[in-house]
Amino acid sequence: MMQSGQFWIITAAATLLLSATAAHADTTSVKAWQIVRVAKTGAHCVDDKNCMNRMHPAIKPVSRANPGQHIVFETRDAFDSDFNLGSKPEDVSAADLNLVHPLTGPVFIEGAQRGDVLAVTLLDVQPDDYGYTVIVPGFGFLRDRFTKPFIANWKLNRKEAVSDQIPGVVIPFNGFMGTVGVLPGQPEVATILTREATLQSAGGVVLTPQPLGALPSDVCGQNGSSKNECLRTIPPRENGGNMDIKQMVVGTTLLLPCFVDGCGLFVGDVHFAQGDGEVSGTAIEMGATVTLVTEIRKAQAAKVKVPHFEGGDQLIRLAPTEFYATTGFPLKAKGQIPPYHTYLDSQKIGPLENLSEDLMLAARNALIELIDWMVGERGLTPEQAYVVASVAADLRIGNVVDVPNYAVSAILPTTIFRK
Amino acid sequence: MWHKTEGPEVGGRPSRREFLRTAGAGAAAMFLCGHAPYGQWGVYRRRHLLILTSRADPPSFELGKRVAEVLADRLPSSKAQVSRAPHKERIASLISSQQLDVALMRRDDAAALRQGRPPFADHGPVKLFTVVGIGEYLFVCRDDFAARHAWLIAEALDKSRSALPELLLPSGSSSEPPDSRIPLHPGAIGYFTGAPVPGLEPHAHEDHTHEVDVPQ
Repeated sequence: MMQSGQFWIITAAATLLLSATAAHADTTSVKAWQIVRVAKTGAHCVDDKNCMNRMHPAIKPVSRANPGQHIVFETRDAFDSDFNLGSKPEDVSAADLNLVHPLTGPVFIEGAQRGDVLAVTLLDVQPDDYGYTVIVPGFGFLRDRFTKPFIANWKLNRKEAVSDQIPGVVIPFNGFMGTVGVLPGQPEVATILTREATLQSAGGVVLTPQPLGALPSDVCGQNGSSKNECLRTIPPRENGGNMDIKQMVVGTTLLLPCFVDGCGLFVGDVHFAQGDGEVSGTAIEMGATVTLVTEIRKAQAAKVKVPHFEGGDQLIRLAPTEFYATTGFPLKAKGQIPPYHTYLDSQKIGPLENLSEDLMLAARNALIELIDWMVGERGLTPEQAYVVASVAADLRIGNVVDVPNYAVSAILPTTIFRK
Repeated sequence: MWHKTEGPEVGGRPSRREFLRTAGAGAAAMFLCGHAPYGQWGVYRRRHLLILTSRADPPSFELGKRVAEVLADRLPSSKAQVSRAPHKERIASLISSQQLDVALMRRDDAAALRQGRPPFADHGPVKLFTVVGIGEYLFVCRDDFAARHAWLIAEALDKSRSALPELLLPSGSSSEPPDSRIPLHPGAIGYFTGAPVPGLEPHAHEDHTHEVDVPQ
């Protein structure tokens, strides 16, 4: 039989145990995932050992992660800029173009080898408080029409973006990685440099290696070991990169062919929102904290030669609940040569009023119609309308068969307009 | 006024069309040589004389706006605009990497960039020259800036002295640089010593880029 003293000792012990258990029951302290964090340090990429702005296989990994681990990337805005809510057009013209794009990484994925496919599932995008959209003269789909710098500064949260420069417009959050990819291998670098140099010699718009401002400097800078081979980050390529595809949202899985052992995964240039086309040249650009998880699909690269992506019902929420749309066909005025055709130096194009099977001209015309509609019906300035189109309107291919006039539509969710 | 009209040169001075063709020749030459980092941006930077100032140095921005206004009035074909870098290191970066051609810099900063001294050790030395001095600032450019353009800018600012908030140097017919550490650009020397406006350098006539002739 238990004695009275023993009873009270046991009772007290049980009480202490229960209270201790209660203290540990706070669910915040329960950790379910192994996390690798690739942190951001310093004000700019040049201050940050985890940041690069060129691509080359000689760039050393800044971190390592196992498949299945959550990798948290702290990322910078596309221009590695000093923009803020007070930024003005005169700040845009002083952007240093050699710094585009600051990318976080590369991360070595344990067990991944050249020839594998790296499956990258986006788990979360946490936006910064500030983002911007700029019209950069000479850049963008309507660069011949919008020749002056413009900037819209956006206040961001996880729900929506608003800007004093475009009052009455609210852009819903649809964060995604504008740039995500893996390092190219040495054979790929050689192929890319050759084909891009050939295109440049034909008059194409190509950015060749530029050691000034290049990071990491020991590989890509002026005294770097591979300074003449480090690829610029503007064009997306077989290794991914600056794809700017808005459907790559949280929950979708990107499949990247792996070209170097460990793949060398990098992330940056996160967009708060973007229309299909990103027509002004920029989306709502921001820094962000991105969480993703990887899986290795062994020896699948022969089936995935360029990035693929897969998902479930993620695209449903991207569909507008109310919209206005315009259409475009490859029609133009005599004597006019669309900017993206001029490098072809075609003597035939100038006098024509109708081009054949030309989606670019059709898209241009659909976009111009939409901008005119926003100016006329919604009271926006052309610059505001161009920016709104860039962050919210979708250029969609209607058909590529109805010769000669393929059709493109420009679809704008009208729910972005708030009274 | 001569510079507000189209047509052939009068008295050796350039027509608006000619200045348009050659405006920003430094950048244009760079672009044509394949050094320009962004061909598409180069269009704008070639068509406008972008005067770099610093957001961290507010007086430089205010002066830059005034200088741009003066040039817009007296030399409209320059399409001068003020451009605001976040800090002076960015000015050094943009000038040294030949992305932009001219800047308003404080004298000590200009001297440091020319000599490649801190805080510009990563960006210099740069062969920097003075077009004019305005108060504590120097209107500077690289050595590849067209002599003709330096001459025209010096003339435009010299003839607008009363419109500028600070004293413009050199004065009179002197070719003494406002600061001995940064010599006057040959085009500016030419203007201040009474030489005629120089002709265009051969590269300034080149104009093969597809972006230039896009419909407006």
